[in-house]
Amino acid sequence: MSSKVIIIDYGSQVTQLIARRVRESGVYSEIHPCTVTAEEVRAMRPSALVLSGGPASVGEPGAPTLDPGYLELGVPVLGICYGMQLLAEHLGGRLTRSQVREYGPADLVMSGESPLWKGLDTTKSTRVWMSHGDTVQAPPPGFRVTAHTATLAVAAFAPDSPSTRPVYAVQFHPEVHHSVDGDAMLRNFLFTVAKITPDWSMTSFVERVISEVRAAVGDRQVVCALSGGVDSTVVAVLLHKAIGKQLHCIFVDNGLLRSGEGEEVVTYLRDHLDLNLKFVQAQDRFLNLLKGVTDPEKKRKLIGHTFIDVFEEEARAIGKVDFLAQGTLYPDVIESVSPKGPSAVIKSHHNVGGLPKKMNMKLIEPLRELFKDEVRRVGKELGLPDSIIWRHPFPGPGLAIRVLGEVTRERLDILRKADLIVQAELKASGWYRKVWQGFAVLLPLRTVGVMGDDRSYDNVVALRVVDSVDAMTADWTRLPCEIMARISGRIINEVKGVNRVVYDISPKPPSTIEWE
Amino acid sequence: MKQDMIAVLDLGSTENSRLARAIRALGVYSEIHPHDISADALAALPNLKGVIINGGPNNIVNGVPVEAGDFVYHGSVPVLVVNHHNGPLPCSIATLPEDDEILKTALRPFLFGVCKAHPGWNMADFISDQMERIRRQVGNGKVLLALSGGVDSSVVAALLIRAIGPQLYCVHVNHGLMRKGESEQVVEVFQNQLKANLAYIDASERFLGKLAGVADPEQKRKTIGAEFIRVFEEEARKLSGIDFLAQGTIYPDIVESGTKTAKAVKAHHNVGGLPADMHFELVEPLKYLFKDEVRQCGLALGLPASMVYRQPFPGPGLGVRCLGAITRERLAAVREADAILREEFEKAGLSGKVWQYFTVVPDFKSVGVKNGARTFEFPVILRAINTVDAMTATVEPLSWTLLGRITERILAEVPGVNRVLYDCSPKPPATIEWE
Repeated sequence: MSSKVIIIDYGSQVTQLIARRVRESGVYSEIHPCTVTAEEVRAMRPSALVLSGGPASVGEPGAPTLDPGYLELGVPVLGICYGMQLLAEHLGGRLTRSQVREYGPADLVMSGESPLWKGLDTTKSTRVWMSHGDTVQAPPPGFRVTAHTATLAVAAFAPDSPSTRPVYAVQFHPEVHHSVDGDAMLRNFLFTVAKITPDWSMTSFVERVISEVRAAVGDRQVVCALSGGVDSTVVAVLLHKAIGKQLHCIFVDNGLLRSGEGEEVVTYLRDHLDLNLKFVQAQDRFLNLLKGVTDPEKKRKLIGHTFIDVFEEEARAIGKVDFLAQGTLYPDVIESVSPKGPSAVIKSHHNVGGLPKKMNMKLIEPLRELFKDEVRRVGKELGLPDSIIWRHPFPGPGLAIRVLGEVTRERLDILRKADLIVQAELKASGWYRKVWQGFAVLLPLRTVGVMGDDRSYDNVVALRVVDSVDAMTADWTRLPCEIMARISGRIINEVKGVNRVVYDISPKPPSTIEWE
Repeated sequence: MKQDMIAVLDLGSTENSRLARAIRALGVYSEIHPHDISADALAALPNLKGVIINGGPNNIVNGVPVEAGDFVYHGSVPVLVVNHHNGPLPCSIATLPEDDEILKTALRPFLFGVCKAHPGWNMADFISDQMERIRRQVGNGKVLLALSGGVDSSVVAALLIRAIGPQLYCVHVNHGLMRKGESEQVVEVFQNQLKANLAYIDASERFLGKLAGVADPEQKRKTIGAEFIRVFEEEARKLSGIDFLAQGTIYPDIVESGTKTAKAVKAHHNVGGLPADMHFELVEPLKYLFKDEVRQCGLALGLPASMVYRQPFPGPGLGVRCLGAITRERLAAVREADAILREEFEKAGLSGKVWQYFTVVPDFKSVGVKNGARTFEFPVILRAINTVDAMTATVEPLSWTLLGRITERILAEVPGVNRVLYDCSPKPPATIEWE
């Protein structure tokens, strides 16, 4: 890998989008917290630097600062929003504090020449997305204003002459989709200003990982826990390509899976690709332990611990194993930056993080550089079927946290039937791939209804369909009314024991995607 | 009653009310009577100008055909037969047109051509008629009224205040399960503006105490109903010399309780059930009015539109919308969320267009996140439905923009709530209310 863009994160909600846009342009990028030193960055041998936005106000107590060394690395720098203000302040420009935040679309007039505008029609304005309080009043000496809006005199600045250091800045967020020409501007920075050769592709990624894994593993054994989700399946197929039968996969059926999903993955991997795969039927063990448990945290912990127990037993049966493979993704790896300190733990996460220490194994995390969409592209590259590649994220504790209150076989069955209808209808209408996640939840109450001339007391199913980029924030999907009506109608008519369907119309925050 | 009247005879059709309302819409008063009405009773109906025998598919009960007495067919008033085969008659309609306008057109020749009925049915005359009747019935006696703040009891109160003024004694029991601002409005309109004798009883604590820990819906309804009677009775005993009890019975209550096959789906909440030693004579001035006519009457009496167009509200109030055992926290959440919903519907021009809309707070929590920390709080459920007769109901397809705004406000303004749900279930198989 030769080209690499380093993104310095000042805490913006959309920093990850910068990295994704850069990668979509075929250039590898990494995000590092703003506490990373210039020397550390130098060691990464970057081709260019991007300074992200952030919620702070330059100069206020506790606000993140700029390591001046970033500008001495000899590579082009692009400052976005807060990044722009840091650059302006450091280079001698003038800032204005503002109590009011400008948030939303603005029309950008590209009034001064800039390589960032290459190929764009500068005679017309272009729609960009703003989210800032402070503004740059005057550009630093040696730099000139290259764009403005109706309310903003300095919306972008660029070096006055080719001899000035290659520092560029924009007040708006080119990484956000609402900035219509944002993508073109970022590409201009990468290819015109920084003259980077795009060499990041999934084909090259797969080749590199395969040779790295082979070198690291040698003739030793690797174990991998399959969940039925896209991440662990891609890990398994990738490792199988690299080390064949040295990979041992374990799939634990905890009785909390969706209808047919576990079987599909097992059939594909074991029967189609001939992987070493142990399918462990542990439904009774999990369901017996869950009897009478209603507290969500308790459910999660119980399932997590039991999973580790089962997995350990199975792994031990394999014999000597040195490595544990996991489907960790890049968003889990990025150190989060928050001006208020590290953010509180939302939920006890369900993964096998507790395993390596206990079992004395080394971790292999071949996807730790990738975003979710890149994992899907790797899956495509490896020939996985669409039904697995586009599978929605599914929580570790499975349907147990979607059966609110006590988990019983009967209630799991009701939920599975309702959920199958949700999946089928989302797929049939083409919405499955447009949304982040869509599923059913069984509520812990019964409500009155009418069946013929009699009254009934039956279950309520909630429908949760959300749009999200990274699962950190999410909004409920505005599904067309006829699809909503079709899903709820089918559930009420076809799933025995359900007489009511509600649609969850809550964003995250303050709600969450899952309910428990 | 000075107005000309057309009697509709009930042979088991579900369309009697629609027929009577169409006749009234043409300005001719109409009443529904059982098919086996006696010759004397029929003759006693004032200003009877015609009879409609309304047949239909349900006119055989236990194998016996339902039929009106022979005297009806051979009497002095003209007869129209609808969807019913009997004898040689001059006037008949094969089936009732589904469209109300076409129905009216079909009825016109019979009403005005054959019966020569005079279209003299209007609200102003109804009110003056009723005032006269009430005064005649009550004399110098005292009348007691349980004023809930709902449309029917409010209109009864307004009518009685106009007819007998200080002889009316209103009791408003605030059971703590009212919507936001409702008790306040009752006091403002009836005590401050209309100068009624109003005893405002704040029994919130008493009701919530009785309801503590009661989770079963039927038990809740019964507890609320029984406690209401007890509070009302106590107030009634404080007043001496009461002879009459006014009630907001309306015509559909009478017509519906008359059909012998209908099953009662829920225990009804009303003032019936007072102890045997308290016999009052009933005053029911609205018992011949349909709901829309009750509203017109209220407007004609000068009641505020917000009261007259108030949505149907169950007797147990927010009690059946705070699911399971009622707690103060969740009751407050239902009330605040309901106020936001009503405000936003009002702003969006939907009040009066959607039959009923309200909020429900169930007794379970789910996970959320606020300021980076985990929350475990209650959801709020929104319900908005349309119905013609409350027997079946469809879900109102609301704009996502409106729902988004309501959700945003509820999540920001109502403490203890971290999730909002929209109920997508029609009746049947769901019901309008959740308990």
